[in-house]
Amino acid sequence: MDTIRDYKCPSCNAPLAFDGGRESLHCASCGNDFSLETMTLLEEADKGPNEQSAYDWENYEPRAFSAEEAAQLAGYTCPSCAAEITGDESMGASVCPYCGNTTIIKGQFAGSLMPDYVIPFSVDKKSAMQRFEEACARAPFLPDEFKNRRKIEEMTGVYVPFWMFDCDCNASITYRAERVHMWSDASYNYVKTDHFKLLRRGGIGFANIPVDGSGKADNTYMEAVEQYDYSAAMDFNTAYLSGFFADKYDVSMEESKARANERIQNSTEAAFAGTTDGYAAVRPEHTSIRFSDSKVRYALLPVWMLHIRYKDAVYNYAINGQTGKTVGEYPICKKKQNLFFAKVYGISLAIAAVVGALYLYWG
Amino acid sequence: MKTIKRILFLLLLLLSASFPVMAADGTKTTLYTIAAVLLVPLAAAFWITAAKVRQMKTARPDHYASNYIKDGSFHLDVSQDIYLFSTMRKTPRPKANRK
Repeated sequence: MDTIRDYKCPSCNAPLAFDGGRESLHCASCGNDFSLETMTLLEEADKGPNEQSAYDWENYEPRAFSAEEAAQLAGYTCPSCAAEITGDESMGASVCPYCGNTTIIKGQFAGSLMPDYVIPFSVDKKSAMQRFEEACARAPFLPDEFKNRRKIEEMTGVYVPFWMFDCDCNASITYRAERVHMWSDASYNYVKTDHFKLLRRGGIGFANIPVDGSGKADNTYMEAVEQYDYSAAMDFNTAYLSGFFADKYDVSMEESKARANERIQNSTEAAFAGTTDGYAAVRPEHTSIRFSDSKVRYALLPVWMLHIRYKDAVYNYAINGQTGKTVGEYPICKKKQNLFFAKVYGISLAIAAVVGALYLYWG
Repeated sequence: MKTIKRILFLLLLLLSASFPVMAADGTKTTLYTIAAVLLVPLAAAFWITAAKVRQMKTARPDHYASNYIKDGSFHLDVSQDIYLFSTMRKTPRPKANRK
């Protein structure tokens, strides 16, 4: 049983001693005083956040295609990037949607997990191309030649496998915060800094966080092409594959968890940090995040993959097959870039020169 | 690149032409003003051009899941701000600036 409790100074960690005259705990090292009530609150605040974070995801229960469904599918293998994609039995495939290789081998459907749901393509090839053209029009330094002399290697609709993560988070975060007051008198400038400990505990829920389950699909592109409207999600049916490819997942749920955890942690910390307004400086001291009601599902989401050859380089683009959002990297025309820089500098210089002349004349 | 080099050359020429004026005038204010007139637009042009160049690459990772937060799910059960202590720093004011 603890009969003696020793208190440490929150400022310098030296032992505190009760000062009867001040009726508070006094630190002989830094000279600060703390009331018993404050030390009790600090003790209670330190109890909760000592827990470590725990990211517990439920185990995923896989489902397999029935014999009848499997008979309608064919497997395609790319000898260049080793992509294994599934397509409708009747579909003629000639180009790999990931690397643009023009020789892909059609074989037997080798079997894969049956997805829990799919979001069907609602943007057709023509509309996707139109969205791409609109995105090109918005690119400020795109070479004029790119529109005329580019060669579209291939545009393929692919259902990309994703692991979808749902969970409720319980978080407990403590912060150190400072509030600063400055003033002056005839002789001195004063800076007074008030130090605080902030305690925040609460919860936040997440649904349908997608993590790319294909090693061939660039994760950056797949995250950039989000978001999807999940109200349009349908129970999987092989009929949706007609005219499109479906990639097999080769990144397991276990391997995808880390990315989901990272995105959840970042968003949880940001949401809680938003409740610490009114301070000059705030820094987190301890963070504890625990999951409850976690769920993992396997889904296929629609993406148009576009490969364009321009001046001996291949530029890749991804277009969201539901919303038409286009992402990628465009070639830059240096001449346009330099001309833009010169125009902005010239205009800014003229304005700054007028302001400077007025300041020197009247200053 | 040639355009940028020409602009930088003109700037150096302008700056060197202003040295006799500054020498005669002898004030730091004029020098600082000329430097600000030349350098602030340069920084602004670099920053605005860099922002435009960023628009040429739209494939960027998303390190957050803010778009996937369930509506109305965020709640705080405990929110405590505990005052600890204060520190004070005072620095003497230069005598020349006292008014």
